[in-house]
Amino acid sequence: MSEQGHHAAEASPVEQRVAALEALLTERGLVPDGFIEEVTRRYESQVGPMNGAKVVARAWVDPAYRQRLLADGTTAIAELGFGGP
Amino acid sequence: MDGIHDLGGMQGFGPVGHSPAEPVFRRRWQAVARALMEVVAGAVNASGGEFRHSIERMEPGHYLTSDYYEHWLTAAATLTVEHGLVTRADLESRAGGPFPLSGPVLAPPVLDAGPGLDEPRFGVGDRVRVREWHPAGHTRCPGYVRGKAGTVARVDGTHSLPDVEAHGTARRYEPTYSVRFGADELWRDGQRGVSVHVDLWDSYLEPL
Repeated sequence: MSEQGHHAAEASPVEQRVAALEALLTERGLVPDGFIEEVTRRYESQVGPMNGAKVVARAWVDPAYRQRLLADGTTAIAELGFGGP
Repeated sequence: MDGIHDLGGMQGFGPVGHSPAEPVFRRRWQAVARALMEVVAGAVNASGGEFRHSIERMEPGHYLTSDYYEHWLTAAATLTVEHGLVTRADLESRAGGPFPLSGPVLAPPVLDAGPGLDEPRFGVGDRVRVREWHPAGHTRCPGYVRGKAGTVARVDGTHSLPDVEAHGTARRYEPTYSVRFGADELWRDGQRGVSVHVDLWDSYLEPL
């Protein structure tokens, strides 16, 4: 996407629009270096439905964990390394 | 506003395509659009309400026929234009073609949201009815519960009312509730014994 000169002919209209917005925001100094890669990694590996699935699966096989989860969900998910606002 | 974004309780659009192993981003442009929305929301200090409303204002045909992340792209671009960071001409010139944006805000700005509400008006077990109204601006009250009666199942914390925060810098904080509706109350052929819980702000409700 950053090499639009090489691939412009193959880019779909939506890709061209994303590239346009990215270029304009970058020129205005609003996109920190590495930010897009950081956001991509965050959503691909740290957040998402699989976190909740792990919590539920643990509760299925561990009745004591299930009780702790029902009593105080925030504390119980912290046991598995998850948190929230 | 009543719009195509509010699809709750509507059927007839066919099955939802889903694959258990679907990737977070199928294409790189989707990840870039996701990240750019974060850039724009920070740059223009957009609230959650303002962000959601910028998607709701998409042209209905475009909304229904575009990818989830194209909604984010359109919203991000719309907010950058509305807040004066770029012009539509800049966007279209760089994109080398049309750059569809969301339509205008139809509701007046909220200049004074009045005092907030600290104490819940309703308690667990109270019967309530959702107000029947059709606001010109943003709301997080889904259309399919408006005018319907339900029961307060849980009293939750006090949160900023999206209907206010989408339309300016004013904020109004209110208690929120999890309200339980019988499926047979919501839909004529709804199954008895099945219920739907919807999180609703205090001002969406009236006593029953």
